[in-house]
Amino acid sequence: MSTGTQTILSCRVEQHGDATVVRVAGEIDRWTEDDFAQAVDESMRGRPTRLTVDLRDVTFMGTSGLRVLVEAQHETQRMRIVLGVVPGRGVARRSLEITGLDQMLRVFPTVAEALARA
Amino acid sequence: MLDDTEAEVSRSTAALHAWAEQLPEPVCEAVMSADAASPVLFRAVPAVRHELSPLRAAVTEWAQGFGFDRDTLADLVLAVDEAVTNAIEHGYRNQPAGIVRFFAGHSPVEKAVNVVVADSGSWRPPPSEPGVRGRGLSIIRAVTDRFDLHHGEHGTVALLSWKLPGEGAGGPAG
Repeated sequence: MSTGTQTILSCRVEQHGDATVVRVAGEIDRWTEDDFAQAVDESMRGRPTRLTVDLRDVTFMGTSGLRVLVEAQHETQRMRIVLGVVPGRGVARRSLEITGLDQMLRVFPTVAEALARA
Repeated sequence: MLDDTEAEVSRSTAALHAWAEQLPEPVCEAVMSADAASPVLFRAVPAVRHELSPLRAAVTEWAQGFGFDRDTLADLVLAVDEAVTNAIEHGYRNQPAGIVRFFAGHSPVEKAVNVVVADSGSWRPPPSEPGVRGRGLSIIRAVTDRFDLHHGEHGTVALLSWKLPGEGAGGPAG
């Protein structure tokens, strides 16, 4: 078994009417950053009115993941998509707090609330 | 007579000390002050991105024994990841097969845990654009009790320290 090909990140895109949810699980680091960015980019392609990134099952998020979120914020503003982030109570929340990005992004406690209020 | 485990520990301690002696003095002191009775991590990993995850797993397991709260533990893993990512990204642009040396140990003298990340590549300053990746060093600075960066002709050495719980984060006031 090769460590190099082991999957440590999974991204699943779901449609909820005209809203899209990206459910992310695992570790977002410099290695998996591109996969995360690709999932977010693809989810914007259908031009949903709202895009929610669910990070509750993320077990690590470094600046690589934060950079993808910042770029997504710029891109969604340009495309007039409302971006919401659900960090959960784990490490994703901590990474957002440390960098102050929790003040810059629309953060919601649950996906249901992001979909209802975003 | 040493049994196999003792012999192995003794060999790796000798290797650790030989390595430490080549480091800048304050970093060398931090490594030498490590408690031999506490778990120590000492690894040489290839400078490739997929090494980050197993290294974080090892650091998480190692750090769990010191009584840090959940947020401090998350900060520690985040900062170590940033330091190792920097070593991989900045240190090896022209040397794909480079090695990053990694140490983590508990210093009873300093009442702290110390992490050392050393590469042998050429240092590049972080990008001056205010992007998130350029904030990596600021994040390390913000979440550590001590962060020293040494750039030398043989590469870059980062020392990250956290005071043990109950020991206080800063030095004497005033």
